[in-house]
Amino acid sequence: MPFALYDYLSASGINEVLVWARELQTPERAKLNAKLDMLATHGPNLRPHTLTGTDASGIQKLRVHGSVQLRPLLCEGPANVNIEFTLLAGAKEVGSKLKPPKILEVAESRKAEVTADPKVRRVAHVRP
Amino acid sequence: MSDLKTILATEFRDKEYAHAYMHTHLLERLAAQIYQTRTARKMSQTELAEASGIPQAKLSKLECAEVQSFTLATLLKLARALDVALNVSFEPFSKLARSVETATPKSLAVLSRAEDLHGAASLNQLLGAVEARVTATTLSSSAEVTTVNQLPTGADV
Repeated sequence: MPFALYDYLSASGINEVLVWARELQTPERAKLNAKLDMLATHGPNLRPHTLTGTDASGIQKLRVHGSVQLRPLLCEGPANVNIEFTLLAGAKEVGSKLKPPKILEVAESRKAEVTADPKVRRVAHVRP
Repeated sequence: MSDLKTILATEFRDKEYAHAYMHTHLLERLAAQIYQTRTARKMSQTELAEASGIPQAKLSKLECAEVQSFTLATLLKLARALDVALNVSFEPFSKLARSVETATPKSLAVLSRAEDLHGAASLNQLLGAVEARVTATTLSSSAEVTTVNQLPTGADV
């Protein structure tokens, strides 16, 4: 696929995004995969606002609509900004607020970890 | 089959999964097609909103795929404003799954009726001209053959 997707890995080697995604119900998991497939295949080329900014610098959210409003948090790069995305954390949006409440800070922290050591702190995206 | 097609072929054995996946894909594709066709016309979102009678805020949500569904009435308004034909049809999953990978900005932007019909007319003229040339060449060749056949034996050709 033209754009590479990666998942954040914790210091102990756990794929936190995969753990989050595997807990989703079937329709939510399907919708998430449909969005991620479009992102990996086309990036932002088919339409603008494929990704939406957040209050945290460099952290974007993918808006997955459904009975549950999924908002996986990700960043461009960080190794190669124009050709890859790294999924940092799973979240949901309820009443315009992200849940869990401190998830943006978590995503920022994880982005810093990946940036410092991209070979160790991320892995090619694993489809849930 | 590409990796993605192989993956989807397996995942789509689950009916609930397949319908949820294609629902999201359909909304994404429609959103991208509205955006690509509008920008190909050099229309602003406000201009399309005025031409279609759809509030700009709603149009923005449609283009960002921030909706759960499109009504046929909304699609018909957009088709009229963009001057394109609307085709709503049921399809096998495999066909739509292919479109996940094959969509491009160019393929999504639809020609307006005027451009489309002008192109068709030009194509017809071109085909007509080619056909006329082929016919003329064939007749000319036949005439040459006839001429050669009518030459006296031993004549230089």
